[in-house]
Amino acid sequence: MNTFKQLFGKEYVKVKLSLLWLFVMLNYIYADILTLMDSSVLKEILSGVIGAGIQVTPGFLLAGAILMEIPIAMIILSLLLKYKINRWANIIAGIIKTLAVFASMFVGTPALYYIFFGIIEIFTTLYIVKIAWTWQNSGESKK
Amino acid sequence: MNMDKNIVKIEHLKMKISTLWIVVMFNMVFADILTLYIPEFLQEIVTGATPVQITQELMFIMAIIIEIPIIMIFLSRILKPGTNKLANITASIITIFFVTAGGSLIPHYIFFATIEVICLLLIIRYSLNLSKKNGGEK
Repeated sequence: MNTFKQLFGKEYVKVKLSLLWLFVMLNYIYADILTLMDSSVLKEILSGVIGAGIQVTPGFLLAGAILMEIPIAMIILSLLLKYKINRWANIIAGIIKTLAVFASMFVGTPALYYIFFGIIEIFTTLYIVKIAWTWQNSGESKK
Repeated sequence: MNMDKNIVKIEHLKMKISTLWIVVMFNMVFADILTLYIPEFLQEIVTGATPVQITQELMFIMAIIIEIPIIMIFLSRILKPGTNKLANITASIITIFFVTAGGSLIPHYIFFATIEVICLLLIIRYSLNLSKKNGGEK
C-alpha cells in the first residue's frame, strides 16, 4: 500500500480529480502564454480585434475570466466538496470545459501549438468526466 | 500499518492549505495574462507609456512579492504546524494587501481578486487549526 492511499484512503479519488484539474490548468495557461508570443496574434491584439472579428472588450475578458475560474475552482472544490455534489460538479465542469476548448479551436485558424494543447485539454476533461461518472460512494468519513 | 490519526488529520489540512495557495496563484496568473490581452494596455507597454512607469526596480519588487504565495505552496506542506500557521497567516495578509492595493479596477481583475481574497481568508481560517498538539511530533 502506498503512502498516497494510506494518507487519503477512500478520498483518493478526490485527490486524483484535483490533480487532473491542476494538470489541465497548466495546459490552459501555456496555451495562452504561447499565444502572446505568437507575433500574428500579438499584432491582432494591438489592433483591438482578434480571431474572426472578436473585439477585446472588458466584458469579453470578464467572460473569459469566469470561464477560466471553473477549472481553477475545481482544483480545490474536488478536495472539499462532499461525494454527491463533488461528483456532479466534476461532471458539469468537465463537460463545459470540453465544449469550450472544442469551440475555441474553430476561432480563426488555430495554430499547431494551440491544437496540441487543446487535444490534451479535451482528453483530460473527458477523463475527469469519466472518473466522476463511474465514481462509487464508498462511505466517505464524516467530518 | 495505521498512521496516527492526528498525523493524517494534519496532513489533510496541509494539503488543503497548499491547494488553496495553488488556486490563489492560478487566479493571479490569469488576472495578469488576461490583462495582457487588453489592446490599450498592450500598446501602453510597447510604447512605455503606462500610467505607472514599469521600471526594472518595480518589476524586481513585484517578483519578490509574488514569490511569497508561490513558495507557500511548498512551505505549507513541509513546515511544522506552529511555524506553518505563522507563515500562512503572515503570507496571506501580505498577499491580500498586494492584490487589493496593487490591483486595477478592470472587471476581470476585480473578479479574480475577489476570489483570491476569499481563498486567502480560507487559508487563514484553516491555518488556525494547525497547532503544535496536532501532529507536531513525528
